[in-house]
Amino acid sequence: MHVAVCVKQVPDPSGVGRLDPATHCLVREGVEVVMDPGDEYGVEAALQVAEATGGDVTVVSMGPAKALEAVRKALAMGAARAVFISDDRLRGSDALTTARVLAAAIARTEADLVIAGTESTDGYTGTVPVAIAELLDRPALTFAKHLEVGDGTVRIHRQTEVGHDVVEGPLPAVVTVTGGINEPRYPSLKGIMAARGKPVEQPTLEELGIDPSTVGLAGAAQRVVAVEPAAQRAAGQVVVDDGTAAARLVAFLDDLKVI
Amino acid sequence: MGNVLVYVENSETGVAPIAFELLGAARRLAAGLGGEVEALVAAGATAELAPALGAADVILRMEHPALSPYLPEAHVAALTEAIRSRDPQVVLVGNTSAGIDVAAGAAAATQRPLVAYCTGLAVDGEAVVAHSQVYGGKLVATTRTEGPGVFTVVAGAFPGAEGQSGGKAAEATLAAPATLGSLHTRFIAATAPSGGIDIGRADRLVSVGRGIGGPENLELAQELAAALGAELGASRPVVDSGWLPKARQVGKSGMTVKPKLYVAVGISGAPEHLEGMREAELILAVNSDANAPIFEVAHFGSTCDLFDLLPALTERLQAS
Repeated sequence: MHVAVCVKQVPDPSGVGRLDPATHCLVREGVEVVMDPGDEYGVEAALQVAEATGGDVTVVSMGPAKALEAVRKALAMGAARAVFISDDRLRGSDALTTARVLAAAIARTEADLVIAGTESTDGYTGTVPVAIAELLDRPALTFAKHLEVGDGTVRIHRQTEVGHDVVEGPLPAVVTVTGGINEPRYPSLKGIMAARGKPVEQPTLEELGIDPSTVGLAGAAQRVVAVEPAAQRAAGQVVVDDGTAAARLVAFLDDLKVI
Repeated sequence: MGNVLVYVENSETGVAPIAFELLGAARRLAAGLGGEVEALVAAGATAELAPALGAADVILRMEHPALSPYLPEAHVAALTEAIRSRDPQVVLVGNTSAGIDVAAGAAAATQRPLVAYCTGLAVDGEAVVAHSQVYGGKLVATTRTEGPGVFTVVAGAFPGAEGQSGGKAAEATLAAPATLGSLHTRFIAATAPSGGIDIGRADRLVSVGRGIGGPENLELAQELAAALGAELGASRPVVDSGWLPKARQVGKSGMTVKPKLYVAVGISGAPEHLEGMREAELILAVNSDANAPIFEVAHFGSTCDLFDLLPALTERLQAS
């Protein structure tokens, strides 16, 4: 089975996010960038389905030129090829535009199954995969913590607040996977070497049939007018190991009348 | 235009609490926009759900067997239908595992922009200004939406009281879209809530992370929890490893908790975990790494070896 997987490069989630004060876009230059950790589960899930069914995986990604690194990582993990859309005119695109671009790229592949992470770590809307499904007129099966592909069907365990629901749908379909669905593999040295020779198609917006005047900041139906750091609480008190911590913790709790 | 449509999340146990928070938010927005609040309640049967929604001006009841139990595809179709036929300016949906799907699907189907993780909403002229969490909650974005939009609202962002009061709303029946008869996906089964554990309601929680080392050491945390009268929680790696059941998982992919006391043991504080517990009133953290992010949200922390500290703490608590 042919599987397409969406990946995105994001500023390292363990770092502190910075925004350009003029454009309010997330600063993606001069900061540590990584493949979105959530997408590693997607790539692993895609590889497992492809391996079990004798198929292959196409990586689909949109982003600035540097984001090719995230694409290469997915190729190093074992994907066969990539479609990478990198166009300055896309800068500032909202989630719906991103979905339009990715959907157009996916439509060029022969994928029966599209896999994506549940939501990106940075933009954080969780909208794009479901929007891709709508645009491709395929069912979306979301929050999968377990995924199995049968004859023309896909069945997932959909994570809920209290447990999980078993949901089934026909292929082709779009599935979003949660962290913890699998243990993503590390790219092997051999995989990293092989990734350099794998085909990366880079279509233009025109080739994807997308009107450039409808993308980017100009095409966005909403405007981000300000971004500020979330309110931080005052730093707490940290006791470095000196043997009195237990007593001080109990005293602290006692002071607050917790115990 | 100018109306506010609230998607009322529900299950066999009734209207979800988030729906009342949305109704309260909707009342304020509708006042600013000069419009009405409409509440969409879509389920197999709605007669028992509607009476709780008196804070709305109009209750839109949509019934179809495919709407219960919750199936994302069915509820996307229901909300899409309601948006198309009622053309509200603002659509409010809870930022829950169900709501995220419903909002994203309906927004895409109706080509309306979506702002997720909203913690604040206000009217400015004819636009809606939303404050929302981005980048794992580390940043707050302010987004201005001039035309129609869909907004998913974080639980706890608005008080539920305003949405629970209110008089008698007009009721209207909204025909279910024909697509509900020919859905692609189907609901097969739900797992039962595991053993009645509800860490979301616990006043005190002792949560363990990977630092606990292995399931054989859980007893140390259990003893501390017992001494504090607390429930036991866990971070994702502990649940993924099968040391504790999913129902005990705190974090974005588990439960969001707001206890009076939260003791994090051997938890480094990945963004996914912090999001689920940072609103706790008092946070204590025990972690060997002084640079662990958990200390950024902790009110009191210790870098002591948890294998020394936990028994010592338990003993002192039992003695006091």
